[in-house]
Amino acid sequence: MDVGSQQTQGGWESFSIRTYNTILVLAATIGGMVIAMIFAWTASVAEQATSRSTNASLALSSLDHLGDRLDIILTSSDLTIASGQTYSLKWAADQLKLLQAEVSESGERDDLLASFLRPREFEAILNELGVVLDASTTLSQTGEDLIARYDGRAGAAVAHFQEVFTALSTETQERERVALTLADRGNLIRVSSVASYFALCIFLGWLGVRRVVVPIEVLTRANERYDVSELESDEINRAPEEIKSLASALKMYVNNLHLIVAERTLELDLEKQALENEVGMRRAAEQDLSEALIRAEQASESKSKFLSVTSHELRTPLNTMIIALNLLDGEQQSKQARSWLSSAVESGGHLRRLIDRILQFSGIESEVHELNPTEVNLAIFCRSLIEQVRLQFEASQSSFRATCAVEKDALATFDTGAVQQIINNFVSNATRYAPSANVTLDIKTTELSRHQHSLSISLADDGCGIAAEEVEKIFDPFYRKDGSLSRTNEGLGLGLALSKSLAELLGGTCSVETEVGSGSKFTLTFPLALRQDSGPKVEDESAEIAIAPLLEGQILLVEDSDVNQMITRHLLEKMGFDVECASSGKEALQLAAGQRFNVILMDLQMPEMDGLEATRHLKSSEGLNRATPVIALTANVGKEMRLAAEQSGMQGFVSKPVSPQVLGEEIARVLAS
Amino acid sequence: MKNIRLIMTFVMALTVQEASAVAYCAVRDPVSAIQQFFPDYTSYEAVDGAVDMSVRDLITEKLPNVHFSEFGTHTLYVVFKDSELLGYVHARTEKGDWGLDELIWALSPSLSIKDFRYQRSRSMARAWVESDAFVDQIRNLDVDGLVALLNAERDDFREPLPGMALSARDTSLNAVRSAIKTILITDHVWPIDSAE
Repeated sequence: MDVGSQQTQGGWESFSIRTYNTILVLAATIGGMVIAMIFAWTASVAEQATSRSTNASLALSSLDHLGDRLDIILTSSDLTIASGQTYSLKWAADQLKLLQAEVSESGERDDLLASFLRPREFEAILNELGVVLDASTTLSQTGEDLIARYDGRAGAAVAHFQEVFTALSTETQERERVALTLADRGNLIRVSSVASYFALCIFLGWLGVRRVVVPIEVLTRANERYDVSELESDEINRAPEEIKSLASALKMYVNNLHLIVAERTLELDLEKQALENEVGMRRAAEQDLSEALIRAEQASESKSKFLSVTSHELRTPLNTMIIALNLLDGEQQSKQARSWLSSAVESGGHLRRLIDRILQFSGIESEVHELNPTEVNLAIFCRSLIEQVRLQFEASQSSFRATCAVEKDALATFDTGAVQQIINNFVSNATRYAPSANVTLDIKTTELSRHQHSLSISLADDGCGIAAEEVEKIFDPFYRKDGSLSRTNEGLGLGLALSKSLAELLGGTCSVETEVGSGSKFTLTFPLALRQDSGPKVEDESAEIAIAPLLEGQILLVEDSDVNQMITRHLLEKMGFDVECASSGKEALQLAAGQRFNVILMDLQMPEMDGLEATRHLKSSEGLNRATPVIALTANVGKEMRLAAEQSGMQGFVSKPVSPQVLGEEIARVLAS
Repeated sequence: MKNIRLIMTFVMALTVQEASAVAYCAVRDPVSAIQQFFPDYTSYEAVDGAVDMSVRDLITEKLPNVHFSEFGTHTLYVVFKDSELLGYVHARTEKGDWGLDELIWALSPSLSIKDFRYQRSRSMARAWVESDAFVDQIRNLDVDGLVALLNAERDDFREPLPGMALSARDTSLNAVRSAIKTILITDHVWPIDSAE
């Protein structure tokens, strides 16, 4: 950039910041001095005019005073002459001499008054008037000629005075007008000078903004944007030399920066490409992991379904076998046969418990298991639980002790079966791993808030304890403390896992405190909402249900499985019932149309017509068994199935495999209701 | 200064009070004045009358704060044409701008203003007050008509007279108040019946 050509382009505006600063200082100083001089000059002129006006006013005032004196003298003279008492004119003549002296003195004192009043001329008139008045004092009476002379002289004096007064009034007004005009002009000049000074300041300010501030803003903008084109704009071309030099340096700096940025950008692009490749690879790996996880979950679900279906299918024939073995056990058998039958019944029972646990665990894992809460008296429930546990330890070599600290007449709603199952698992573990230990069962409630409590049930033993590394695993499914092939304790390793899952369904926790060689303490804790039991006090749990089984009557058994039909029929006949059998719903309806039954046992899953539909037909017809109670028999014990059975009109529900005691109690219940 | 002027005037008036019996408020040249106001007169009579405190009281009822130092004998000129009464000529003195103003009044037989002129006045407004522009506005007015021109205090015009400059206000007001006083004194000092 050629500095010389830029100076030519800038023209009269081309100067450095130093020059601009000098101009600014000189303008401010000289302008201030000029304004001060203008103010002083205008003030002086206005003061002089005001002084002239004031002098005129004072002269006029003095003249007015003289006029008053003259008026008094003439009035007294007029009165005296009119009344003919000419001796009084002596006073007027004396006053007139004093007035003459005053006129002379005023004239000497005030040039302005003298120039108008012309003291010598006025004194001459007054002197003549005085002569007349002096002459009248010597007369005995007033003569017409004397009055005429007096009036002539007095009139001349008054006329001269009025002429002077008018002229001086005019002069005073003129001087006042001039003073006001000069004051106005002085104000106008002062305002104009100040305005000019401000205009000069504004111009210099504008020049500074245009030549210094704007170029600096352009420099700042160019620096912020790293834009070289900004540095070649007209604003920079008009700028002072200092700013032009700065712009050149900045331009060089920006160009170098652009080169560095270009190099760094290239490096970053390469790194970006590498990162994108890596991200792509990681995404692909994540996708593989997700698919693997889905496959694993599907496999787990398939495993659960397989376990569930297999267990269910195993359970039905096992049930038949157990019932059949029970029936054989009641028959006349040899001692050896009864021993074998007892072993078979015991093994069958163990196998059924294993299958039940697999089914229950499968249900919890697939999130279809649901609690069945009922309202109970908490103290009675705890006493019953303690008795159950005591009975289980009586058969072993262990010593048992129990403590219970719960509210006496409190009602609570929870799934008692789930709690009993969890405690049974604790007991099973204790009898299995600490067969001769001292066992303590502690039950207590803790108040969490006014209406919220927690129930804590602990079972502690002083057995061998559990190693620290195993504590974390004992609540895992299928984990066993002794997992070797030579293990001494039977079981699937599902007890504590089921306990933990059931505790979580209750909203609580299962925990263990243990130390090798000192024993273990398993604790169930879950929240409870207690309320006061206001009903009749129940003294003994044995009085809760008083069932008197009915051992006679007509029963229609509807079952498609011949084996189940045969076994169940035999069981019912042993109870004392007369039994008619049907293999389907249609057949059952035909039999029910011609005979009245006391109870109908209805399988739910049957060919042609299932048990639900058959029950609906039975209850909607006007036949003999419209009011006969119907009890469902099914291996499907889900909540939905119970609800469907109830909605179809069934009054009872018995799950397979059928327990003779449960079946008898359910028949007795529906007949009693 | 005005206070001094009033005090001096009062003092001087007191000193000449008793001496102003005849010459004070007198027409210096009665014949000339009568000739001017009644050109076709054939004869006149000079009738003396005494002004006392009772007259002053009667006059101040109509014209309060009036300059009044006229106690004593005054002369009224009754003008005739043959036996016909033409009117009255009368002089009054008032305090003017420069000394005393002396006014000669011509009244009609019914005691209304016929004409007037100054016997002496040094006021600059004398010319306007003696002109028809002013005289026509009071001509033929009786006491009530003249009083109607003034305000309630009788110390200013009710409203400015047409054509009157501000500088002529005091002299004009002096003339109207003098006219009222002249008619009232004439009515009370020289009853019309005795004049006839």
